[in-house]
Amino acid sequence: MATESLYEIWAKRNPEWEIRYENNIIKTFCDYNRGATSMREDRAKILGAGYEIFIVAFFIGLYYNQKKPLTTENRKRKSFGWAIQNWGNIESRGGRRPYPKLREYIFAALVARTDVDFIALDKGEITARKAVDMLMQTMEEYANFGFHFMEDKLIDNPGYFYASNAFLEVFLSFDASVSKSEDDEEPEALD
Amino acid sequence: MILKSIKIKNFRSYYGESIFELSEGLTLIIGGNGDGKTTFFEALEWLFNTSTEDIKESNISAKRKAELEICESDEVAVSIVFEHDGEKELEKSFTFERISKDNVRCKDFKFFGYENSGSERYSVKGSNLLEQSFDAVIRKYCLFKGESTLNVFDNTTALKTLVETFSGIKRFDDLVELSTDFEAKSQNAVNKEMLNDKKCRQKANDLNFRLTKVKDEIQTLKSDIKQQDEAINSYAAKLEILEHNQEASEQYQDIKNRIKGLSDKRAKMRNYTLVDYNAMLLDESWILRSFPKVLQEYQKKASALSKQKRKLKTQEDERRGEERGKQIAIEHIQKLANGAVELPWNLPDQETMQEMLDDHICKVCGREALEGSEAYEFMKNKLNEYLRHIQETTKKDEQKDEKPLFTNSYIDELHTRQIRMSGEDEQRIAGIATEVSHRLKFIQDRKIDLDKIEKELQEAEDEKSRLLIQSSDLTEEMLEKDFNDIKGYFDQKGRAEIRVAELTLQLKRKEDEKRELDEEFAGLEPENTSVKMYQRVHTALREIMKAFTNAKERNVTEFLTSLEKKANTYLGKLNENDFHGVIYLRRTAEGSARIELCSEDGTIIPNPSDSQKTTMYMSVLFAISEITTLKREQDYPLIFDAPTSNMGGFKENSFYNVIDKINKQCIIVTKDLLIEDKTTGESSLDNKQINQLTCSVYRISKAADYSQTGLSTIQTTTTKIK
Amino acid sequence: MARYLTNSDKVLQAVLSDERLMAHAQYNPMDYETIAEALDSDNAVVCAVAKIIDGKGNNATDKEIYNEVTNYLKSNLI
Repeated sequence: MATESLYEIWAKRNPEWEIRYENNIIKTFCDYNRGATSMREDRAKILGAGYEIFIVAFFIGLYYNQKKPLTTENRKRKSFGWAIQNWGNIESRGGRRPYPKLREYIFAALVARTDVDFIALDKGEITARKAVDMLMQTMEEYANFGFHFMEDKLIDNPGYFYASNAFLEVFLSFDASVSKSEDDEEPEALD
Repeated sequence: MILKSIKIKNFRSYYGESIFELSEGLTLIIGGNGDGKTTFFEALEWLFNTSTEDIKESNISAKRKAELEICESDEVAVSIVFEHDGEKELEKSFTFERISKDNVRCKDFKFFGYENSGSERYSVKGSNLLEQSFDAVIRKYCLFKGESTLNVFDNTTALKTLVETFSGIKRFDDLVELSTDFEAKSQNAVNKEMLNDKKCRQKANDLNFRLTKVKDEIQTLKSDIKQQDEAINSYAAKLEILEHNQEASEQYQDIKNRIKGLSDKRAKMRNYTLVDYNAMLLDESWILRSFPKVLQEYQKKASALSKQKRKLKTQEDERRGEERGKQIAIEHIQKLANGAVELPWNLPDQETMQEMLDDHICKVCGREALEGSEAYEFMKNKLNEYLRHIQETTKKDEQKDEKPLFTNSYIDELHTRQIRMSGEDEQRIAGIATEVSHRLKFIQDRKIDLDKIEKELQEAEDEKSRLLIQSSDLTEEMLEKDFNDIKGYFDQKGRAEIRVAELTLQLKRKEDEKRELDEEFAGLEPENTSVKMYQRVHTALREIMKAFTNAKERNVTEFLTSLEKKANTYLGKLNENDFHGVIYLRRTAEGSARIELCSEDGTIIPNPSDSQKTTMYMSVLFAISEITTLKREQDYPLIFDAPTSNMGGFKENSFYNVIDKINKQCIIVTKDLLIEDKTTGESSLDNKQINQLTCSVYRISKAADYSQTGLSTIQTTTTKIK
Repeated sequence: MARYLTNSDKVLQAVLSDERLMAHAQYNPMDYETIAEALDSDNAVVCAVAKIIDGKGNNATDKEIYNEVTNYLKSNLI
């Protein structure tokens, strides 16, 4: 039988976030808990499903390279009932288009930034499940920082993210340079 | 009469006192729209209006009015100082006093003239002085407000008035009418008498009868013609309104189209600028703008892991290989107790060994090997070694089936993923930053475009409003009207004209008929001396009538010819070195005249430009003014309000310089020689052209700090330029 | 002669200078510069013209002028 790839195992999962961000951020900026909406009447709903704001929060944490551990109390954590493998599969409607590839990049980022002993994993010394757990932790902690960042901004200025380009500005503030790596890699042999 | 100066005080937009000192030649007063040009003119009109004591609160400068404290008062005054048999002054004024916060009382209307006699200055009634020095008839040919008043022949009685006023001889019309009337009366008398003549009675009766009939027919025809003429005039008037409006309508359509075009563009620009940045973050992957570094981390890690894995695998393989080799080597150097080389482990074989042990004898050398003996132990060891070796070999074989070092291939998965993500994907992600910044710039530029378009739209809307204000008797619907109306009127007018021509022809025939009858009548030779005498009287009166008629004609013709000649002289001057055609003053059927611009051979220039028309009219006016001077032995100033607003590309400075040199005092209020700054909307003097002028120049303009909605902030400032 | 000519005088001169009238009534227009001179004339037509002009100038009614002129002509036309 074909074994699942690491990516597939990860994609079946569902990240958790702290409930304290549910009302002030997630519900505020998304249609979370409102079912699939075809129209976003409220001005505040600047994004679609809940995971979209999660993605934004994740990238904020990623680019700042700052994590914030989640609370250990389970009752203070929650997840979207929507596995990662479905993220980005939206309908081309109302000016939106699907973005399925984004999740692959998230996966790549997690792999890069998580200290999983892949050698041990491949040797079978640790389970794939354990490895994915670690990736998820990274994911959740970056996002958690992102939520914290947003909450902080809103305290100063409650209308901050309502500006149509508020989130964009955040991402424009990060460095976007592409440095050429010093060690030229030899062409990889496929084996 | 030469105007020396004009003073306007607190009259509408002219807050405080504004004084214009006039040159003996041309004085130009330059102002843009709303700066006070028309008000200047209307101030003069107010001054010269003798029909009412006009105290209107609306004529008070709103600014001055607003400034007044309660019980404070000031006056509105317009006055002129002029030369006319000595220096004289004419002033009209009234006082206004604030009686409460919202009310102002106007009183003390004054209209006085001042004359100098010797060293004394005494006052006279204003209206009297005005009639003496600058009477209404002359004023009619001196003050012209706007181009539409320049055509002095615009109404049918104009020629009559002109001839009356300016030709050598007056009252010809009455006399012609009178003598015509006499002729007809005497004719009737003759006809009546004829009936008494025995000889001619019969014929006379018959002729009378026919004459009556013809006269009736002539009457009918004349009244029909009159009706048709009236119809023609009414169509012509309507056409003129429509054509005048057509220009406005065309302008309106123009503006409307422009507004539509701009609105469409605006909608387009808006679309470009209304961007959902948040959706772009995800849908267009803008969120990956800073991802390249992270991607690189991943790639490094993945390829490092892959390398490491391979290295470990290789190491492991090497190690195992080594182990095996070691084992073989050990065996190769394993020795016997006495130094001799041992037999290989598989010799003797297991069976043989077991047999030897069981038999307690070495079957090789034949010696007994009893249990516990050295030989026996040696054989036992050998057998054990054999067994051990078998074990180890088995174990080694088992090991060959053991798990490899790496049971999973996740690293390979990561590596494959990494390779897949390099190349196109990596390039795309690297390009996102540029993509974003380009797009943002694009949006920024479109926003700037949008601003520009909004501004242009506003300008167009303003233009539309201004157009509606100018064509104040038109509503927007009228401007929208379908101008098939013009065609309809043209057709109707054409038909009426044809009818008139037909009727006129008939009339002529009838009149010929009447004439014949008259002649027949005249040819009757009555015996009756009384009748004969009536005939003679009638003949005389007929000749007299003709003489009067001809003399009148000659008078008019002479006047027109001289006017025409003078007008062409002025036309030549005004259009120096330029094609200008020839002015013809043609008599029209209704007893008036028409000014036509023709080429030398007499063919009418069909669509003279506005500037050609204006110079044509002005030439006629100058000519009339010259005749006035001759007749009255007095000169009078010409005051024009914006006659050259249609000059367009005309050489304004040469035009004005020519006027300055005509030996005539002229005041022209115009918006020429202003350059409008399209971006700020402000106008400034075209100093380059003005420097080339020889005349006096004044500039009137709204003082800078005014509010568009507050009348009381408006103040026209007057500045002498040269 | 630097004589002041009234409007009526000018009208008279204009009318009398008509060639057709001259031919019909046989007079010399140079003889008549003013109304006064014309009124004095023996030539019935000349005088009639003067009467018409003068009558109008004096604001007589049309009827009055007509009667005077026709009566005059009746008596003086040959």
